[in-house]
Amino acid sequence: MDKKKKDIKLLIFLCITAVVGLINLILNGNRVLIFAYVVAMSIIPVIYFNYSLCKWENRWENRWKEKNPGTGEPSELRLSVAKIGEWIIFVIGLILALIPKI
Amino acid sequence: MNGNRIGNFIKAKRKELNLTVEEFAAAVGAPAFLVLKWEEGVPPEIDYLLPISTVLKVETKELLRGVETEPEQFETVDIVSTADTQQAAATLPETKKKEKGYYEQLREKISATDYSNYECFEPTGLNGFGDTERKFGYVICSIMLALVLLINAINLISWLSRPRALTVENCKEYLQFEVVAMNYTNNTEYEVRLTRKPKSYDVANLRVTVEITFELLPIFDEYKEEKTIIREASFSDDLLLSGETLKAYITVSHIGYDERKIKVVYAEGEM
Repeated sequence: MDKKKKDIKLLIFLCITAVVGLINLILNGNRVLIFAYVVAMSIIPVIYFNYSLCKWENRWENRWKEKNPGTGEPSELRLSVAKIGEWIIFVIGLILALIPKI
Repeated sequence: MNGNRIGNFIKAKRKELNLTVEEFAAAVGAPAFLVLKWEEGVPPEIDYLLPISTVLKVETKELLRGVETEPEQFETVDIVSTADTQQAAATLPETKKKEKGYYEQLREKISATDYSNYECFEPTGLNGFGDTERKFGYVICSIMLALVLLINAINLISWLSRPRALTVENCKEYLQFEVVAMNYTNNTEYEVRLTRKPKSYDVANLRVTVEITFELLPIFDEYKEEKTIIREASFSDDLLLSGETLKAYITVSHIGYDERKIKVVYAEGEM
């Protein structure tokens, strides 16, 4: 299976988990947490498009700060740090879904 | 610059040379996916023009046009004699004689360059997920789904195995009672509250009677004869939902009594 197919498969799995979490949150009766949960789960497309978003941000920053902007190619460190942060937000979202009724 | 024409040209020339995409990519010093992109019509980056033209044995301008140009044909017109040519050559400065053409120099330079160690531009990453990340994603999502399933299964089992009737014995597990003074300076009137506990079940046809025992505070001992007063409060509701509170009011004859004990004397209801 090529990379793209594997990625799409995981993306679908993440979306299913997010929907199940939302249903569980509603069943628990924690309606006050729904907004925070939806915000946390909107990180899923950001995790997928991490590279493009980092590159876009670098390019924009280069254009803003430099006379001769570069390609905006993000470093490995930049990509890794962003990915870790995004996954942390995703896990926080899942924890919100599991909290018993407040 | 026509991307499609260049792509078709690269593809045709590569096939003409019997090179696979991987072989061609290795020869050019680029990743295979870039070669496929070029062949699909994305113009090659400027860094790759010279390696491509060298490997495909074409001129860079031909590559950029996407068309192989025929070698220029000149008619040989014998208008100068060999003697004249030799004489002209002799008059040329030494440097001019040795000077090579631009493409000749370029070809020499390219063939002298070792492209096996050529550091070409490669993206640091791609959209999507890495292998470790993918495993982490599957593990975390599986744990989450398992936990949700477990929690809901436990809730379902406890709901199915709940007691169906409210009795005097189990009443305090599901209901909460509270006695609150209506007036703190002259507290002879009290409000009795019945609330359904969170995480308990809805109660239909509820009938509850509680007995509240008041005891005289020690400082009033010498003024009052009645040391203990007992009052009853009754509640009834067709359906007691979560968070719903029922209220009843009771009165004691004098001040100086303090609520000590709430006892359920009668309870009836369906859960």
